[in-house]
Order: sequence, then structure tokens, then C-alpha cells
Amino acid sequence: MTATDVTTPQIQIPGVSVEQDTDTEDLVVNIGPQHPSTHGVLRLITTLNGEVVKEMEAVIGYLHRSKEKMAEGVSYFQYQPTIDRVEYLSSFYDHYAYVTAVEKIAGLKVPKRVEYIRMITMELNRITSHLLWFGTFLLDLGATSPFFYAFRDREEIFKIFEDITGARMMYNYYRFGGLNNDITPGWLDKVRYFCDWFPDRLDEYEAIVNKNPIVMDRTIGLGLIDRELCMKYGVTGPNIRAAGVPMDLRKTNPYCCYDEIEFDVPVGERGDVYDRYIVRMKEMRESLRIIRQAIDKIPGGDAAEVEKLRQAVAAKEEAAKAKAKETGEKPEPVPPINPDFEFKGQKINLMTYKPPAGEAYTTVESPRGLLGCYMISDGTPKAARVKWRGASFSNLAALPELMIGQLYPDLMAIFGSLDVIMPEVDR
Amino acid sequence: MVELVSVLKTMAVSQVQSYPDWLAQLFGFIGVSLPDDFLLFQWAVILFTAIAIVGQAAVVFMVLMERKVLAWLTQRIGPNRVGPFGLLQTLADGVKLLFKEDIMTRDQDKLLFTLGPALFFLPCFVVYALIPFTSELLAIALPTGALLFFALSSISVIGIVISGWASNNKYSLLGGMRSAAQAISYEIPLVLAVLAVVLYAGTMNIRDIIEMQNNGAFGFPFGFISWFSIWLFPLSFIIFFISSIAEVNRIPFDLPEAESELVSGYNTEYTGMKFATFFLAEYAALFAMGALTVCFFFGGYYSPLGGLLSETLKIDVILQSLIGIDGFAGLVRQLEMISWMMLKTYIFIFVAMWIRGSLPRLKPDELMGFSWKFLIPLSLINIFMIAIQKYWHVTSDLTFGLAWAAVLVLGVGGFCVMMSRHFTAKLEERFKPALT
Amino acid sequence: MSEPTNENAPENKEPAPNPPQETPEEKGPEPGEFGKLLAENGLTVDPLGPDAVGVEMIGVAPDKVLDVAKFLRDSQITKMDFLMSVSGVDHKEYRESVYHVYSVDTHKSICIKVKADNDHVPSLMPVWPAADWHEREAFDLFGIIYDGHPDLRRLLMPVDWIGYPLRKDYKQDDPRLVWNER
Repeated sequence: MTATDVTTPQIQIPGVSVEQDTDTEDLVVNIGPQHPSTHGVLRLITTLNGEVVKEMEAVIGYLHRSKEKMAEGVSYFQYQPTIDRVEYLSSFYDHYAYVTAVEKIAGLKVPKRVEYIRMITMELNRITSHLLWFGTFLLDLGATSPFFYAFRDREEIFKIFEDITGARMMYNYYRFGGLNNDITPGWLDKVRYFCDWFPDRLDEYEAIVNKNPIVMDRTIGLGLIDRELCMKYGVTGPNIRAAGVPMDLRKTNPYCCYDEIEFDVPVGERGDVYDRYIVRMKEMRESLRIIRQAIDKIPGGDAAEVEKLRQAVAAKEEAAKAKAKETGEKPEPVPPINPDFEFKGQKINLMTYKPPAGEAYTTVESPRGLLGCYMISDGTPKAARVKWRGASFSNLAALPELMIGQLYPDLMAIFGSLDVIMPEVDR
Repeated sequence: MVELVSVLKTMAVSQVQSYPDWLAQLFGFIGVSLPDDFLLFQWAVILFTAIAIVGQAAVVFMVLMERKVLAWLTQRIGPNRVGPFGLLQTLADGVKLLFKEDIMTRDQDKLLFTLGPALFFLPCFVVYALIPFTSELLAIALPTGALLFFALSSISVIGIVISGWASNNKYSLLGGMRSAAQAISYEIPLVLAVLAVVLYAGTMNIRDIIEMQNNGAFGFPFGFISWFSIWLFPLSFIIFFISSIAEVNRIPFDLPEAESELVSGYNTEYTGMKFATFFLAEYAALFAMGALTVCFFFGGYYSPLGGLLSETLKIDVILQSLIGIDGFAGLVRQLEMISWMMLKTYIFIFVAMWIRGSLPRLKPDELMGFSWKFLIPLSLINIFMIAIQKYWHVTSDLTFGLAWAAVLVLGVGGFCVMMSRHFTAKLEERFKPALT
Repeated sequence: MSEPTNENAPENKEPAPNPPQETPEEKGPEPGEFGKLLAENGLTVDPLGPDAVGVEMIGVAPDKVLDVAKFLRDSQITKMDFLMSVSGVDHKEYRESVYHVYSVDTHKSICIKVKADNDHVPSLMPVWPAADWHEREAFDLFGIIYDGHPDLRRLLMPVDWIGYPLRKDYKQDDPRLVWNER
């Protein structure tokens, strides 16, 4: 840090850079593992020249909880609660990837109502995740208030989740071939109310942030990501879409019932931090659009109506039995309710459930990007291998290259804009 | 030696004031006669002690106010557990900090590490002696008060740099260095903005500047028309306000602390009372800056309607005759003055807190650019305008005044439009592909 | 827990419409789209059939994998430009490096399985640089050595960790760990 060469002439010749004349030392700053802006426990060994980053190396693994090893030690169902902890901000997606992998290997049929409920919950979860990103990203830029606003709105979604899952963060709601329980009566109205209430909030946030000169100055043209860089590091999600590549698995490889829903894939133009911000804000609106359509299209509609149908079937069965008692014949078979209206498919014993031998690689478009779950089943009650492909893992790998030559304060903007969450990186 | 003492004494007598008559009358009522030679440093010391106590109380209140205001802005409740409405929260925090362990690591420079907070803290409180809270509650009425104020307040930067260096922490070091750069950049527009006021007023005595603002301009009856912020120096005021926020290291200029980047900047390594000292000093500096803004641009301790309300409405005399104590009218006037002063100051502090709740942080290069490329040219233009006005005595005539105002608006507006291009250029560039 | 499903639902009720498609020695699954394409271009691969999702799996010998990968990336038909993940798999007798690759343009994916030859597999970083951290992770957890990887260090575990935790025969008996002393 100190200029050791004191004999350096003080007069600077025009055209000669300072670095040639003065002897300076680089400053190695060890950012993290505990640091307010590393969103968890990430260590960045950064070499600074003044405030310009010369080199950077990311050291990960501080949050490694051996989730993959755990999967080999417990039954398929017992592993489910730990999935929530793989990525706690949008754990519906991890559950979906895991549950789908099992369903595909076992060939379990999933009722359509389940797929729709999964879609609604996943999209709501995308909004919570993007909202948290919005808050923390602006906190990284130095604005404190949006953090609180974002948390207030997440609270509303958490209430909606709490109604059906009983949990605010660790949902553990999906089951092989179905759900743990049906949605509660009136839940869809709550979601619809949220969909009407939330756009005003988004307008407010965009009014605060979108044209803010400080935000624009700090984000536009910064941290440019193009298609080549995305391919080089495996960057996905809003980050690659901000670079203008419309890679969205919901659109390109539709899973769930996304092929029945109309929605757009927002893409950016330049791939800078500002574009990533804009893309995420637009994605929240698209999520709302998906949820609205899903509510209208959900088979069976509200839980109360499905319950009515179920009771009608039960009443008919009772009547048929009573009639059979009178006449002494076999009771007439009563047609059950549409299987698409059920919240679970085949009846299975979850605790001991095991799929047959096989393997599957399921991919989901999580809020952070491509989430993959590679499962190998060897026919035993425990999985032979479960591998998580977290989107953050690959997104983070691109950070050192993005940071070379940038200013130290830009680190927070760029790192924040990648939306990396450490538990997903370390698993 | 004796000569020197007498010279000093003369200087002091010329600059340090005596107690006012109404105070002597008040004391006379309870049977105490103040000594006649109760002039020199004694009275100043008494006043300063009083101001320091008031200042401490104000600072302690401000910490709570900031938390409440931020809570209000973010739709929370804020501290409400300790005392009624959480009023004692800051005291409780202070006591907690007082009892915390004072941690120093092995490789820290112990002397400088301890000296840093003191160096930061002292100037922030010494400047209180120069601020006229009322016409009498002013410890030293220096003819060069404004100059001394900025000279003192720039010392506190040394405290930050020292503590950044002595902490033996890279974040602290970066914070200290940023602080030095920021202070150099923002003291220039700050002082240039005040220079315009001083140029117009013809004095650096802060109390005289306040009195000038009360004299009225263009024959308008209302006092606030002649406030320097309203008619003559809107530009000075804007530059001064922005720079003063930068000077006290608050968002959006809180780069030396920069919680999300430098953890906490220069005070990362500090615990306990040393940390509390930094904390107090920051708020004390904010309070001093707010008070100074009021003095320079918002008519100081006078009411917005010109003069004092109690004097205009004869409330002071009526009260005095009712109570029957000589000198009570003076006390009423002083109380009104300090009320106006505090009210105006807290409005500015509130605005600073509001800004903190709304804006993100600048980058160091943008920070420097904003100062050197925008504020300093703007303040030079401003000084030029004021000089023109001063030379031709424009303000004595309404027509000339309007013409000058038009020139000011055109010139400054043009400059601002030009500069805003710089900030919006990136946006235009961004939307280019969409337009074509 | 889902109460209704736990009742009267014996384990043997579960269907198995997808019988295991592995063990190519016995069944010899047909080569899929990519397998045929590779065979046409003179690259022999073991067709392993589709997995449960329908993604074609191919088994490639370690010495051929770079050519296969280059072909898959550069071919205008496949355009496999996006490496999703590299997973190590421990089959007790041998270890396997499994590559899942996706094409951003054609939206198709493929699974390449490489049997490690005495724990040695050529690194695919020259073809897909995205393999960097993924291969480091597989090395860290399985001990698969990727030849040609420029910076093969442990990624998730501490640098001085002993053993490869995700191997089936891994036992945590590092004497330096406190909990092993009990």
C-alpha cells in the first residue's frame, strides 16, 4: 500500500502513467466468508489495485451440508424435508425436480389439478424469490427501504403458502404423484386477490428504482454478459435472458402445464446489470399472468366445489349400498369424480415408497435458472445417487471473469445481479 | 508577556460577549447579582457547556428520530420497547455500548486507534460554539465564524483516516482513504457555496448573516422572502445541502462506511464506547450541518414572518407585565428564538433522513465526478452571479432583481440541462435499439 | 404425512410401466437419434436407450469422449452447446462421469456416460468450459481425475480433506476430526 520509492520525481510528465513511475503494491482483500453482501458464506479472494479488481477467486464450500450424500442414506420420502434446505428461497422448484424425477422413473401419473396447483405455487414462489432479490440487490447498492418493502410483500405470499402447506419457508408440500393435501376452500380467491393487489406494488417499485439516476449510473453498462459467456460458464435464468437469449425451459421444454398457458419470456438487450433487473421485474408480472390463467383453468376449481362433488359421489354410493341392501343385489358401481380433480394420483405408501431401477434427469426453470435433479434408482428403498445441478453454482462461476477490471463497489452490484444463493451452490 | 495577555484579553473582549441585561435582571429578581467582570472566558465557557448539553440531548434524540423516521418510511413501528414510545432506547443502547468490552487486536496501533474516535468527535462538538442558537446563546461570536467552522469540521476527516489506518483492517483502510478523497472533493463546493453568501453579506460572522436575512428585501413584508435560500441563493443552498450531506457521510454519500461493500468502513474494528463515539459524532456533525444550513439560508433563529412573533405581537411584554419579573420578556424572546432554530434544524435533519431512506449509494468515481464535474462548476457560476449582483446592487430594485433572477434561471437551468444530459445519456443509448 | 395414502396402500401396488432399460449387454437398446448420427460420422458409442424422461443416453469410451463431445457441439444438427452438469456416479466396481448437455437452439438434451478408466477421465473443459467447477466437484467428491483439467483442486470440501465423501465405500475416519475421537 505504501509508496516505497520515495525518490520518485514529483512532477508528472504528460502521457506517462502514474503506475510506471510509482511503485505500488496490490491489496489482497479476503471478502467473506462473513460479509454483509455475500448473501451467505462465500469467500472471494480479491486482488485490488486501488479500488480496481485485478484478480478474483471464488472459494465455496462453507455451506456444504452433503445433501447428496444424505439422499443415499434415507428413503426417498425421508429425503424430502431436506430438499427445502437445498435452496430455501424457492424450495418448491427443488421439490418439483425431485418429485418429478421419482414420478418419471416410477411412471406415476399425476392428476391435472395437481399440476396446476404445483404451477401456481411455483410461480408464487418465483415472485417471492425475485422480491427478495429485489430487496437485497438494492440493499447492495445502498438503498435500504426496498428491502423492507419487498419483505412486506413476501409476507402476503407466505400467508398464502401457509394456508395450504402449513409452513412459511420449508414447504415440503409435493408428494410422489400428488400433493400432501388439497388446497383450502377460498384459497384460489386469496391468490386472485393477491394477483390484483400486487401489480400496484410493482408499479411503485419501478417508479422508485427504474429511472433513479443513481441506480442507472451504477447498473447500466456494467457486468456485461453475452451468449458466449453464458455458454462458457453455464449461466442460466434471468441472467442469460437479459443477454437476449430466450432460454426458458417453461417455453422451450414445457413441463407441468406450461404449454397450456400463454406467457412471454422477457429478454434484455445488452445483458448488463440493469437489464437483469428489468428482466426480473418483468418476470414477476409474467408470473402473475401465469397464475391468473392457472386459477381460471384449474380442473375442479375451488376446493369447496371439489369437496361438493366428492360428497355427491359418496352420497350416491351410500344410496346405491342402501338400495343393494334392500334388493339384496350387488351395489351398482357409482362413477367416481373426474380423476383430474383429485389432489393425489395413485395410492402409495410414502414411507416405504421406492421406484423401480432407472434414472432421470429432470430440469426446472427456477427463479435463478436451470435447476437439475439427476436421480439414479437401483430398485432399493434408497436412491443410488441424487445430484443437484443448482443454477447458482454455475452463475457464480462466471463472477470472477465479470469482475476483472471493475471497481470494487461494482462487485456488489454485479454479484447481487447474478442472484446467487449460497446453499444452492454448496448443497 | 503582560502585553500579550492584554492583547489576548482585548481580542477576547471584542469577540466574547457578556451576559445580556435580561439575565442580570432575572438573577436580580432572585437576589443574585452577577459580577461585572463576568465577561471573559467564563461566560463563553458557561454558554458552551449549556450548548454542549443541549447538543448531546439533541443528538441522543436524533438517533431515535432517525430510527423512527426510517421505520415510518418503511412501514414499520420502530423502537417502542424502552420507555414510553421507545424514548429511552438510545440511552439503553448507550449504556449497553458503555459496558461492552473494548476490543483491540494485537497488531493495531493502540495510540492512533484510541486517538481516532477522539479526533473525529472533538471538532464535531467544538463547532457548536460557533452556531448561534439564539442571539445570546452563542459561545463565541467570531467575525470569522464561518471560516473557523469549516476549518474545524475538516479536522474530523483526519480522525476517520487515522482510525482507518490504525484498525489494521483492509476494509477500514479503504474506508479511511475514501473518506479523505470525499472530504477533499466535497469541501470545495461546500465552501464555495458559503463563499457566495459571505460575498453578498460582506461578513463571515454567522450572527450578522442571520441578521441580514431578517432585514427584508424588495420591500416585501415577510421575512422568508429575504432568506438566502429563497430569493438570492437557491443555487448556493442546493449545492450547500448536497455537499453537507456528503460532508457528514450520509447516504447517498456514505462511501466511507458503505455497509454492503466495506462492511462498516473505518469503524469496522471498533466496539463499545469508541464505536459509540463515532456514532455520536456523526449525528453531532449532522446536527451542526443542519443548524448551519438554517443559519446561512433560512434566517436562523428568526420566524418566517420576519422578526420574532412574540416581539411583533407584544407577547413578551404582556407576559412580563403579567408575571412581574424584569427581564422575563428577554427570556421569552430567547425561548422563541431557540424554538425556531430547533424546528428549522430538525426539518433539515428530517430531509436528510428521508434521503437516506430513499436513495442508493453512489460509486466513488461517480461521487468524485459529481463533485468535480457538476457541483464545483455550478458553484463557480453561482459566485459569478452573486458578484454581478453585488456589484450593481441589483436587489435594491425589484425590476433589476427580476431581471437578475431571469438570468440566473436561464444560466443555471441551461447548465443543469447540459449536465443532466450526462446522466441520461446512458438511458438514451439504452433505448436506442428499441426505437429504431 | 399424507394420511389417506398411508392407509391400505401396500407397497406392491405400485406399477412399473418403465422397466429398467439399463444393462445393454442383455437387451441392447436401439441407438437413438444422436447415436445414429454419431455412428454415421464414424464415432462408435454404446447406445444406452432413453432415460425415464426420454433423454437419450450414450456410453462413450474415455479415449473417444473428446471427439464425440466436439462433434456434438460443432454439428449443425445437434448444436449441443450448453453443458448442464457433470455428475460423478459410483458404481462400486467403477466410477462414471455423466455429462448432461443441452442445446439452447434445438432444446434437446443428451446424456453422455464415461466409465472412468482407473478413475481417469479426460476433461471436457476444452469443449465445454462450463465443466470447470462441475469437474472439480466430481473430483472432490468422487476422486475422478480429469486429465487435462487446468486447475483440478477440491471445490466443496476443505483442501486438506482425506478421502472422497460420495464414494460408496467412504468411511469418515479422519483422525483430525473431533467427533471421531469420541
